Amino acid sequence: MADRRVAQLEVQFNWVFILIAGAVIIAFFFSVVQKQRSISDQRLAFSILNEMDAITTGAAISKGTAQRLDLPRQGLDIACTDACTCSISVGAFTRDAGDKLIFAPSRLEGEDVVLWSIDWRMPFRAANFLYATNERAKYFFVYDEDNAGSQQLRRLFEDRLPPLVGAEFVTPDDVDCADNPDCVQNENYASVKFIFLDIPPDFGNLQLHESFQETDVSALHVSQGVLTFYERSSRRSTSFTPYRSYAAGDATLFGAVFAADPTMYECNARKASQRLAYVSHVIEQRGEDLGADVALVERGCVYATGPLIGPLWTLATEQSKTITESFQQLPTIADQLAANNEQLIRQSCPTWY
Amino acid sequence: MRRAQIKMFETLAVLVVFFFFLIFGASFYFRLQESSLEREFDRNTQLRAVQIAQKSITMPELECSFAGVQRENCMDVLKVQAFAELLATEEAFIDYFPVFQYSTLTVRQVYPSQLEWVVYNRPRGEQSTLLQIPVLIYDPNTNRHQFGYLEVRVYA
Repeated sequence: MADRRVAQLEVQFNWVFILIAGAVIIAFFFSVVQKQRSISDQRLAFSILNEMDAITTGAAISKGTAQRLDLPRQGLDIACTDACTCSISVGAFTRDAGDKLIFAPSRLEGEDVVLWSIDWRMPFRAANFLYATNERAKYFFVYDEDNAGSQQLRRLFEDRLPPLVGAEFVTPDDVDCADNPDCVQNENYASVKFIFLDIPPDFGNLQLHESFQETDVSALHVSQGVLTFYERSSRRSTSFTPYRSYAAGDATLFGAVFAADPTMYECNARKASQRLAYVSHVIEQRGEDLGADVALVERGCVYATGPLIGPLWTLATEQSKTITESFQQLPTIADQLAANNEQLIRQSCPTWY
Repeated sequence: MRRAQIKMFETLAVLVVFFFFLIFGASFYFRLQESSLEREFDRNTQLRAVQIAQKSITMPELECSFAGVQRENCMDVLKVQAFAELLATEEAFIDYFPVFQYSTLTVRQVYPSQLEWVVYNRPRGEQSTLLQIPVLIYDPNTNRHQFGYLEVRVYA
């Protein structure tokens, strides 16, 4: 009797032991699988970030082209801090944008991304600007048919923007829903930007469609090189906070259109100015070397580095620290160098650029 | 009692053998992972090298241009010299680090004479990837082109 009881106990104990051992093994495998899954996700995001880095580098040097590329499922986040540290993020991984000058919405999500690159000439090529957008970002260009400046800007954007960009040209009546029931609406856009071409926006009286309430909406006013960015404090807010900046050339105008916020615009404009300063220094040094060549001097080839390159370098260096109203003067100074370059061509002399 | 004890030891033995095989399989798997990561690391280094080479070839600080039109795979010798001097300054050296990172950029002329200009030099460690791209080297003083190549050595 006692033996039977002991035997029963031992069998039960054996089964308990088997259950505990089995639970430990399952728990072990479960933790390994979870860990491996996490590592695999991280590797994928890191790999995608590397690929995007290479793709954006290639896109940046393929100036003048617009290309559509697949977007990672996790989306792409691009941002610049106040200290002008610009970064690109895929999932939890972030990489510094480095020397790339990217103007893009803060978040790109969807199936693909459109990358467009053009060079910034002052008057020689100083940098390549890269613009990123996709079908979920919409740009409404508001123009006035009776305003010559507005029409000129409209023609610039109509002619230069690639068809892949979600741009639409509308009049102020199309935007204001107060008197127009057929005003523009949000068609599942993740971000919307209203660009007022030489028309000062009147947000106090402007009534946007209610479908824009939950969307990331911002605005930009462009008028003769002066840019005014308008940002909402929150999605449901109807008031816009203005921020003034300046443009120098068409490439910067496009940058202001595509930039997520004025910080991104100014950070890239400052980096571009720094590059311009360095490139103009190289061109200046080259000009001095050419000017010291006796054979060229005898042919009448003159390279006045001081009055031509000096102001360009000085202004570019200033603007690399902070963008001021003087930024608009860069094209004027650049035109003087361009005119001298034309003169050198006519004289069959080696050109500045 | 003895039978139960034998059963217990039998179970323990099975477990020991099981865990032995598990550890053996896991170490084999992690070795494979390690070699896969090393290959990925090499691939990333090569990708970086290609990026740096692409950027160098198209930089306005180095490339030839005539009346505003860039000529591909061509470097202006006066710009190369001026840029090398510029990068010798600390400020420019730091500012161009995001462009060139840890690498050495050398322009070598092979014909008609052999010359070389080290434009940028920031080495790190012994492991590196080397890329050589044929370029024309233009001298605006003589209006002549020479043959050469751009050497990009990127450190891992």
